Amino acid sequence: MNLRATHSPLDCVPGPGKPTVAAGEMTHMGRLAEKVAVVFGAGNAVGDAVIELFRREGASVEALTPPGADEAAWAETFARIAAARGRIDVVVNAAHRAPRTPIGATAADFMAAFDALAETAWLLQKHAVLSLRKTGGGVIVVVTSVLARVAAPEAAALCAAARGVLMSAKSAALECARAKDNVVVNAVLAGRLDGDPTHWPDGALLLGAPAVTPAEVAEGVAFMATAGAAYMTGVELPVDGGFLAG
Amino acid sequence: MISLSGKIALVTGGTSGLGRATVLALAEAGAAVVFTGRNAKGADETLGRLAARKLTARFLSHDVTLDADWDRVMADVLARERRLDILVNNAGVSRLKPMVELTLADLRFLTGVNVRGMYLGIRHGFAIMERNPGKRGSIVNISALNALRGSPNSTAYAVAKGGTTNMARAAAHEGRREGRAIRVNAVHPGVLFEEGDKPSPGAIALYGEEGAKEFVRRNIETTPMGRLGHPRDIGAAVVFLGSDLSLNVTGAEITVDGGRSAGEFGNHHGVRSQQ
Repeated sequence: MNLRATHSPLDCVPGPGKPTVAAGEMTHMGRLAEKVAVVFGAGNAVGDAVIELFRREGASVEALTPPGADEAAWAETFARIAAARGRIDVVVNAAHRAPRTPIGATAADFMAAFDALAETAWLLQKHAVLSLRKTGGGVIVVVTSVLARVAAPEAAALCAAARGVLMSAKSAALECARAKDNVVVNAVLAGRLDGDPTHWPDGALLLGAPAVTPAEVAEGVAFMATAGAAYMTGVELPVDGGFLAG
Repeated sequence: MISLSGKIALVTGGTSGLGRATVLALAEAGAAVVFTGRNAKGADETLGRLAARKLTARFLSHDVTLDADWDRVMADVLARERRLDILVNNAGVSRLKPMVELTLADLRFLTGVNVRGMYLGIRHGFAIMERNPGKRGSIVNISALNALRGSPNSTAYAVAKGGTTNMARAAAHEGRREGRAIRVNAVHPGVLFEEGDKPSPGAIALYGEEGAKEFVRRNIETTPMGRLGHPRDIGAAVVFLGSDLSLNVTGAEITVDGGRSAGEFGNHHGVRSQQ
């Protein structure tokens, strides 16, 4: 039996920006039925896994790549989707990419790697909050790495950016909670992802870490997007096979 | 007292507050100190405070975001002091605003100094310390509690200081490669006050005159040690990390915050908090 396709009682709990649906109507719906989700990271292994799972769970998904380091472009992207769909319930940042940067890399290479992660995440987060606030709230999930918590060699830019992105998400979560805007912000920390051409931390960086699949990371993201997670904000959820536990 | 006698130390941003206190602490412990910065008047103040204690240090003008400035500073240190044992990446900037008021330009200002500047420091620090016997050295990145805990109005600052801290921890791995014995650690000050409990201009700008006083009061109340931090508290931690007493300490996240991060930092902001 495919448990993912069955109705979950969690979906009966109204949460931020989530329409209440009578229980009887939900029997055939997925965990993310009737949700409008915007997923940045189409073309990334994790991004594509999130898009596939969200669609299977009934979400209406806008699959995108980040528009770049341009405030106006981010604002326009959210405005266009909100206008077309009426609202946005979930925004996922799965656009994480990271080349290796050993100490000794030029400052330009180091900052290019750092900015690609950190500036993208920060701009996405800011403009997602602005957009979700206009329609009564919603959920923001950022996928980053266990390297936010444990560092590794040849990955200084990735480690720096991952922690920066995580702490910024926590700060945004607290700011939104204080504003009582029904926006929650959470992070999923992906463990060792092998064979990903977008250079997630692989076995060479995370020696001895259990491997995880993009589909498993996507499950963590989907949980954060369900109404059952509505009281979780500023949370970091490792999907790492227990790696960070010890 | 810990002795740094015979060691050479370089402190960026030694022209004010925390950096100045670190320069004083290192010099008092016996290190030969070079400090850098962009503010010549602030440098004079630091030299004056040193002179009052019959201590001395050498000042070099330095913008930490410029690779060429690091080349010049390190060449100068090699020419005069002949080597470097301790590098304190202290120069940093903060900008606290609600996220909707922060711009990409704010983020770049913060990451330019706190991330790029400190990365350049580590890179140049590695290069000069590799010339030491045993390729030994100690690098300290001065970070902030924002690298450890969330806090409102600091989404951009958190990106920068999260970077400051975890870059140090990543560098700690590489500090033990290729025969190197370079330790890299991060220090996290709590709320610091140099003159009594007077709120900082930044706190007043953010919370208003009365709000800033309340901010200070709540900080003291929620800090286990019952007082705010003084820059000299951070100087003391840096002296320890620069010394041979900490030879097995690397990749550490040290808090020097009166215990604040053990509980209350960022409190009163949660979903069910009453404002």
